[in-house]
Amino acid sequence: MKLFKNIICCLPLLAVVFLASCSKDADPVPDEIDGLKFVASLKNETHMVNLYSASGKLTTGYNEIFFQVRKADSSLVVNNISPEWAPTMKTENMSHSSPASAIAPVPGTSFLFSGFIIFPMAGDWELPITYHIDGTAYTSTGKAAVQAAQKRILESFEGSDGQKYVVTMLDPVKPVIDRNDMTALLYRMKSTNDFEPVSGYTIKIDPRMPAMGHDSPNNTDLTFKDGIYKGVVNLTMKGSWQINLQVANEKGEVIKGEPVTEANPASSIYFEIEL
Amino acid sequence: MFRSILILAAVLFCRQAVYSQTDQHQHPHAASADTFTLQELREVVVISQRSASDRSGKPLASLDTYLEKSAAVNMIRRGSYAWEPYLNGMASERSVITIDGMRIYAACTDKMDPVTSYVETTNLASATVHNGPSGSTGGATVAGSLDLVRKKGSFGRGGFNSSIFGGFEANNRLKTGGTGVAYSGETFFANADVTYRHADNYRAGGGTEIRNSGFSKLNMSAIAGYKADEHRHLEASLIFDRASDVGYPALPMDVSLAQAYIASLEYIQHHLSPGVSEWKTKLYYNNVRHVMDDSRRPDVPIRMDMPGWSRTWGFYSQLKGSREKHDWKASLSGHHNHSLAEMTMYSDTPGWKDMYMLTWPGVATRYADLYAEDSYSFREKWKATTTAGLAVHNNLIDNITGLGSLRIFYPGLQKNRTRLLKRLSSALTRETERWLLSAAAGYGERAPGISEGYGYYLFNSFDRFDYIGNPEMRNEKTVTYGAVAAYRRSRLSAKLSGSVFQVYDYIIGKPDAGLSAMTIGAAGVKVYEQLRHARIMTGALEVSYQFGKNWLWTSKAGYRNGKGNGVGPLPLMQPFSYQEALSFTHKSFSADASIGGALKQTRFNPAFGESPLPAYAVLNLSASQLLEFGDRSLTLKAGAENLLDQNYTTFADWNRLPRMGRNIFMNVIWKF
Repeated sequence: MKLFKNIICCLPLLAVVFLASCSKDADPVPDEIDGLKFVASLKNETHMVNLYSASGKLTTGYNEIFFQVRKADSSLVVNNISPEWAPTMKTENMSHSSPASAIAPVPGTSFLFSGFIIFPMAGDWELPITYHIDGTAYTSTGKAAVQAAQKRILESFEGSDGQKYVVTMLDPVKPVIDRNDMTALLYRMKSTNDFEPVSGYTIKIDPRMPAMGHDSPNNTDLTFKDGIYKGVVNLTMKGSWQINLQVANEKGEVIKGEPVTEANPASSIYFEIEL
Repeated sequence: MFRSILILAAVLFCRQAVYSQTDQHQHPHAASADTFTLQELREVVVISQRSASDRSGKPLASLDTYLEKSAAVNMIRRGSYAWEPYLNGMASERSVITIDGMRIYAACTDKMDPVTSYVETTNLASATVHNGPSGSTGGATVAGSLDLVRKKGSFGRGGFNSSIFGGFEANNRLKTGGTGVAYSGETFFANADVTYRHADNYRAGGGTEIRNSGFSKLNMSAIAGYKADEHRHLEASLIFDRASDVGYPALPMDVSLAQAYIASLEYIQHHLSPGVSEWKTKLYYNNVRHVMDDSRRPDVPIRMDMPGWSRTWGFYSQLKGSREKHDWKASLSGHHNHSLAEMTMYSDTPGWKDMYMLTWPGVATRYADLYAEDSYSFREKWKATTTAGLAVHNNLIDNITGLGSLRIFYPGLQKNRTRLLKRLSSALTRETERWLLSAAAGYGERAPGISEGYGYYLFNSFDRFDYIGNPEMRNEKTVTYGAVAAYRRSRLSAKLSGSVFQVYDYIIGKPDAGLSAMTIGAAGVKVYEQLRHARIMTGALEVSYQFGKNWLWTSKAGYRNGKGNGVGPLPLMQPFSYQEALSFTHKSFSADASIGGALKQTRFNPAFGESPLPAYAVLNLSASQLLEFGDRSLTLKAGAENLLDQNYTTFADWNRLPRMGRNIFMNVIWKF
């Protein structure tokens, strides 16, 4: 990371040395990525795309990703180039894709984009990003390593309706003994390369502490509002929690997950929270 | 807050008629011996032991055993140590227990360290019980108040007095030992004492060993007084008490450490003016640390530690005086307590973290109290007593995790809550040479205790439920009626007393089927709620008769009955119990035989873990001899408790824990 910072710092200097005529264009703009950490670079012959995230890592589940596009002369490209991405992971005989948001310029910045990708599994992901400069389409590509999240925060499953879904937890990021706002995203796989967000479902939660077998009271199931599933998870003590899930469609029919009973200590889909 | 106090002060001083309720006089010895004074209506248990004339029990008995003699007190027993005083059949939250007027809050969430467990009999002279809201300078109460009166020396020319004492009890190999030194001078006095007790497991009747029932306790105390002039003096007092490795066989956990520092400084002035006879002001501080653990239990579903801390500082300032036929007392007091308890459970599954929670969420209690009492004597034989008190009570949850925990159950919970607690009582007494008749009525309120208001998954091993506090409860209120009739004639004395407590918004745990228990193996969760009404009745009869010069027969009987709306019988109520004793005294020798027992307990409540109990009777024998050598003396007392080795359990035994079987004891006290 330090090395990368050094490189970033040196870039304007290099520009001065090698491309004196352009020195005025090489504005010191790294301000826009303050607080972000470098993740990976994507390239083509004319551009380099640097990816950033808050942690400098990509993990399974939800990742908010930022990037800037840089020309060969290291100047930044203004963020009006309508980029799109298509994360894919190829295994021996299959190609996987992942749910991802559209990409949008970060408000108040000139060069920075953001969007999120929900990686369903760990490994090296191809992250081709296509954008348009002066009517020409370019694609920068490269690999980014996705690590497995320390806790289970994502479930891929086939519902009783025969469709494939991915559900992932966003909040709570810093869980406390209290009422915690809980948010999640639910996607349905339309085709191998295409996920669509699912609205109007209900994600029922049943937090349990497996070491003790108890639940917590007064939780609020997650319902869809403003593009995200929101609810409340109550964590009565520190320790390792399992948030058992049941996903119900608009009609209230549960398409995946089972209630926790004495005979069935956990649902087939659950998240983990540790505090 | 101060404005309310000022308003109250105005109200009180306008009334000018403040009484102290006089109530059941039930001191067993007083009733039986010549010391009987009808004036003395409060119930006083004389603790200052080392006296051969103490006819029942052992001079070196624990404070718990002494308190149990009071007809108003039951001691709920979870093991050999630290019994919980129930006043008038009500749990310790409903009463105010003070040591020389000092408020102390226990630090254990499971009631394993009542205030009474942090002192020793060597520290104390007596215990004074007030029933109901009457006469409680200590603060707002429903059941009554119990003040443990510190033993202290006096100014004079006594010089040094010392004692060494030791005791042994065969059943649990209890060894008691200690020493006390007192110095008394014209302008200075000091007392210091040390007591150590160590007991192994005891054996119930029939010889069954009750595991985890041993304990060790070290108590040290010092008190000193300095006389500035004829009417003014200063007193400083310190108690250090440390119990370790205390077993609680009726509970799933034991205590590795229960430790308290209790310190005070008091200024006393006499004869301020013709109308004001005494003014005393005390500042105090106490610090209690309590560590529950289960390291001595071989089989537990999960290992856990449950430490708790409680710190209190406070003050009181009290005036006493008389004017014409009025005797009056006024007291301003306040205290600040902080209580916190936590629980850590150790995960034995790799990858699962240890678990942690606050069982008392960091609660500060701020309390200010104004109290006044007046006793008016009229027409020679009559006396009317009125007491009134008003307190401001505030609770603050000052730990963010603690607040978060409770907000799971009470989403809108405010961290601050202030209450006003009122109390008022009056009594009318008629006293003649042979008869004492007294009737009293009172009204009192109390705030929920820390566990009741803020407890978090506190496991009750009797009904096997986890308890969740309810910070949104109203004050609990009581209307109390009591009457006493006492008769005395040369050889015979008798006393009949009774009281009724009508309690409104009675606080009790009720099962909430929607909640799941945290404790492994618990039956469910109870949340504290309030019953619209509960009623508790108590009755006691004491008779004593002197035969000839040497023989004295005493008989005591008591009964309590409690009922709550919708819950039926209230738990831990004393069934009809009795004690018959015959003593023989000749010069400095005395011997006695007693039978104590109870009838079958048919009123019980299974929802609180209770089951019916058979009747029992236990026979005790003892003899004592006082030997005097000039101004030195040796007291010897030996005896056998439960001589017939009955295996029995009483209503006051948590989880029906069997009582001790046959126990031979010996107490020796050497004074010099």
